[in-house]
Amino acid sequence: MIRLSKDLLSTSSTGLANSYAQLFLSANPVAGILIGLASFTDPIAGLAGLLMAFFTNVIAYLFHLDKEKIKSGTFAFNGLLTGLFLGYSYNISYYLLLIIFAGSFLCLMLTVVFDGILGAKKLPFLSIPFLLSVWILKLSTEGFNSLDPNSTQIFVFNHIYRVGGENLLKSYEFLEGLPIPLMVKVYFKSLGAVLFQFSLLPGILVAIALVIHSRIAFSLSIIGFLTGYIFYIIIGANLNDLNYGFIGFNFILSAMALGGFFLIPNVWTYILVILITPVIAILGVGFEKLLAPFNLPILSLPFNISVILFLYFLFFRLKSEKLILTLVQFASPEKNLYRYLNQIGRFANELYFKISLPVLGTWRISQGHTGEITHKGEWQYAWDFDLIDEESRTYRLPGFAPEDFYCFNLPVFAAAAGQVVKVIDGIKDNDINKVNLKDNWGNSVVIQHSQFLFSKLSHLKSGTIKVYEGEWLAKGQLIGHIGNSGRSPEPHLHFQLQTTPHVGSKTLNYPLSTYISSEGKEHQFIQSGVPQLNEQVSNPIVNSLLWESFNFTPGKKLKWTIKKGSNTLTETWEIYTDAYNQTYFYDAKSKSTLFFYNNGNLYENRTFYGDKKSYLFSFYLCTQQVLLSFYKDLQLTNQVEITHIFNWAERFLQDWVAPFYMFLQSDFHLNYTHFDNDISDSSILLKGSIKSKRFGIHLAEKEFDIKFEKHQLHQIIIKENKSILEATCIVE
Amino acid sequence: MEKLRYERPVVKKLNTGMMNKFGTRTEYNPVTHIDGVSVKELISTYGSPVFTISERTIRQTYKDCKRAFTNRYPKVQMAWSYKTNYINAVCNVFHQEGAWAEVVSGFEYNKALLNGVPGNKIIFNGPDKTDDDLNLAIENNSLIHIDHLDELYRLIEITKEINKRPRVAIRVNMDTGVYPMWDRFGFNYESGQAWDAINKIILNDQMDLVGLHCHIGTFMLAASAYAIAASKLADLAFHIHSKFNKKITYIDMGGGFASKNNLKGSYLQGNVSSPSFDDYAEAICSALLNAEYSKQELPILILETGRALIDEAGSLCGTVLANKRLSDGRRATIMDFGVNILFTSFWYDHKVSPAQEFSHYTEDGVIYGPLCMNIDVIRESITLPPMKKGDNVVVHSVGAYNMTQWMQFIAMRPNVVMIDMEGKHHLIRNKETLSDLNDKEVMPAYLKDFSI
Repeated sequence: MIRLSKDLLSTSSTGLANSYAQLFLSANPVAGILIGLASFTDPIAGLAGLLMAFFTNVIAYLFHLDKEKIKSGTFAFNGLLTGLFLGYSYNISYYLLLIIFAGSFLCLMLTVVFDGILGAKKLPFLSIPFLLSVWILKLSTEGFNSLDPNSTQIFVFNHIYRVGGENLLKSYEFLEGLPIPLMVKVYFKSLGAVLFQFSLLPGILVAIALVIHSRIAFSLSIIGFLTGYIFYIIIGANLNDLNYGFIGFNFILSAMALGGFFLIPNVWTYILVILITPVIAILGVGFEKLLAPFNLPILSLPFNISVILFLYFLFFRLKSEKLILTLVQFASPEKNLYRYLNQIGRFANELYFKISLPVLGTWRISQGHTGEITHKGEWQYAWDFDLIDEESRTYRLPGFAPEDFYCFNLPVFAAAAGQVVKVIDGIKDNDINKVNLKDNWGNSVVIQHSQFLFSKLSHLKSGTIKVYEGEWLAKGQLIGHIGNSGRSPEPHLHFQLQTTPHVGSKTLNYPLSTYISSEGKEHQFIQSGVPQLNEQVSNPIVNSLLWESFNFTPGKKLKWTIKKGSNTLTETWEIYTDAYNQTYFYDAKSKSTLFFYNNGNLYENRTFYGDKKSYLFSFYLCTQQVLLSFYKDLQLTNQVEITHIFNWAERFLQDWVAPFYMFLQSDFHLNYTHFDNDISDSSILLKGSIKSKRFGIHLAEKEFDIKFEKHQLHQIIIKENKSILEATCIVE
Repeated sequence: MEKLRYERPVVKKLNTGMMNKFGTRTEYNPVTHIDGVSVKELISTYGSPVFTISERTIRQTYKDCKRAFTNRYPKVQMAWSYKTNYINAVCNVFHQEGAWAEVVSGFEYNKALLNGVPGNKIIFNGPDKTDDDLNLAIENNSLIHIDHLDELYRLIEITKEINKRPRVAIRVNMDTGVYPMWDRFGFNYESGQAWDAINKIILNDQMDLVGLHCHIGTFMLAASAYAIAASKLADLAFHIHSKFNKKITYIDMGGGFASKNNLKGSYLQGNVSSPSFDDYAEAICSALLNAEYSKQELPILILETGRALIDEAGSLCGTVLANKRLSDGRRATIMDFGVNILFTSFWYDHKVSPAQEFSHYTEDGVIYGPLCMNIDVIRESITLPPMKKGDNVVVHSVGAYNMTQWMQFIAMRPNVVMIDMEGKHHLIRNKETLSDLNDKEVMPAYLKDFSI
């Protein structure tokens, strides 16, 4: 019992600071505490808010809702807002306490329901539960005579005097009387208004909290606010509305949400923030009129509607180059942005369901997207594959029969796992230079990979299709052999992605994942891309040694002996899997964690938490990305997250301009240098470097060699500033 | 205007039912040039007869073969079968293309080393490996393919003596549904011999069993036999893994692919009846892909095909020595090359083309070699236009085995020339002279003098 109540208390209170931070789309506890302090400039409102947030968490705990969400404040922040509103609207009394309790329950239920409904569409519920609770409570409590409406907002000075005596009043007057431009005052008031605090002090506190939380969010809040302010002046709307603070925060919150939270902050999101402001303003004015008859305030309604509307609207785009949705939410614009910049190279195909090449070996793209022959109009996003020899011929002489063509009768494979939805077979293969326009696509197979993603393979050889409709295929499973059926004057494979199961479906512009593009003996690794006309492409061939070396399975231990100068240290990492099936190393000595990912083709270090002096951290940098194939002189190049390289002061400065310009830069290079034999005692040497730049000026370079021997990762040697670190590994 | 060529008259029986009164025409066109080099020029430069090797054809054929496999299976390694043609220039073309070396004797092994092949990329096959050979192969970390138990026992002894751990594979023979079954090399699959050898190797723990090897026959006209062999080997490898937790890194399917030559007694011509690389590749690769391996653990597929890679690249240019009429009225042509240098004419009906223009008249006849030996017959029956002394011919597809199985019998071995990618010709093996023969001989003193 005691243990239960202890757990209840700790769980419910842990979420409190976070729920304050969540009001400003943050997860920074320091910011949360500052915002919490700000909410207590009106102590009654502050107390009501705190109480209600706490109640919400307790109820959530007792109903066994997700503890992690309680801890992160996700459930409580709507309750917190509702409480602030109640405390602001009514004087404290037992009745109010009762309403607060009822309100908590209502608000929590609404939160869970909207989380479910909107969450399924990958949309945030924002403060909708708060809005509904507040409206219902307001409407219902109008009939409760026992509740005493709070008159603070009308008799401000009396109120302040009552709470803090003369000193507080004086400081209030001092702040109000400061020669600050009206616009700036309104900005601070608007920030405070989120917490139902209508004075400068809480606004300033919130502003400080914002700077601590995120430089980008802070700059966005100013831009959002300014645009709204100027827009009000331009259209000649009632500036008092803004002045009062009730409207202004809608611009601020929307700017923060769209400019840098749900989207990766960049110059386009800043432009978006400016462009969408009129929409928010119109929504505000319009809904105010709509709600006026019921005497209901619009509060954050414009913010909620504009953000959810816009996000849902974005989901239907076919291309997302400029406005990029945040996939993994770190609740910080900076983290989201740096992560994304790091991802462009590394995790670019994370966004996509991965489609590989449907063939083995090296192939030529004989017609790419928007090709000159047949890939036009609705069918432009397709590829034709064939094989050529040194003389660029697709056939061996004389080339009169399909059998003379190199690609004829070669097998094709499932490009990804999925279900066969359509099989057409039995169409005769054409003679060379004849086409069958009646059965345009020839023998074809359509495979469904996800709800709206299908791949189609066409012009297969009659009678070779090995799959049947309804069959589930693993990636790489044999489908059939290349033929010359349909509109195919010479044997080739037509491959396209589409959104419907129909054979004649229009094509979808969709990239292919993880392939090698070759030119002579030069190879390039493409993580996600669209092969172009005449490009030579192949699926990477897994190298056994690299594969074995990076096959870190949970339960294994890596024991490192690290020599640096005359010092010899050891580190032992254990491999674990968490609840989300993510694998990570844990070094107990430095309490550091490194999440990694390995899909059998590619090994990547994802995130590091802990001591950056540990060798685990060096390992994180050196093996940031390793393709598990060996191609001589292949070069992998990626960005390194600047947070790992530069100190906080430099990063603090960088943050302000990060969406527009990165003056700090750090690159990871890995070169596939040497590979000896493939049979048993193979050894591999990879050479890499981390090169950092400040304003384009090169800084100290970190060079490293990674050696593989005897079926495992053997040694990493890191050279930096003339010091050499030599780490040798034993896998247990 | 060039003076018209004189062709002696031909007497021919008229057959009813033929397409025209002249009978069927010859299938041959004159072959006056090889890779752009005129046959006359080759003969005038290097003498007659002369073997020519087309570098272009080697590279093209190699790539054809490789393409057929690598587009069906991710890990393919070719190993050049030295016994098929071990002229160093030929070997090095294959090594340049990326092939390892496959040898079956100590001298071939050393030849590969001298060509610059790294020791760990030499596969040592065959039933005859001396202690010295084995020691050298172990020293160089080569892949030793064990042929019989006696070799296995000897290898165990040697490893104990020198305390080294060689990398080995066993050669497995098996019933693949073809006749004759090659069971004289390696350990039998069906009878359990193979398992016996595997158990001995692994339990003895002196050697590293890294591969399995088979070589199901020669000039295999049924690609399907390879599918059976591949799946049997894959099965064996899989069960070795489950029994001993020992990963078999490669499966060596040996060679035996048919070239486009016409096998004696076969009804169809070789270019029709011989399976293509694609046919072999399809059989082998799909059998391996269908075996119980995960994508990352697929064994490396090693191929040692020799004949199919080199046969077409080799030609023999020769000259007519004489014409004569046999007692039964058949026409006989005597060439300046015989079975001594064209050993393969024992089992192929080699295609022979005249190297100069001719009219459409043809005649049935026999082609004999120059040897004063009754067995010296190049073609027992061939339809050729009439030729006269001094005319040249080209014998096609002679690249495989002739330049290794040829013998110094009655006549010496001729020059071998390689025609490179640009159409330039290079002498790659000098013709032998009497001193090559005499220098090796030792005359006991008492036999030196005589008077007749």
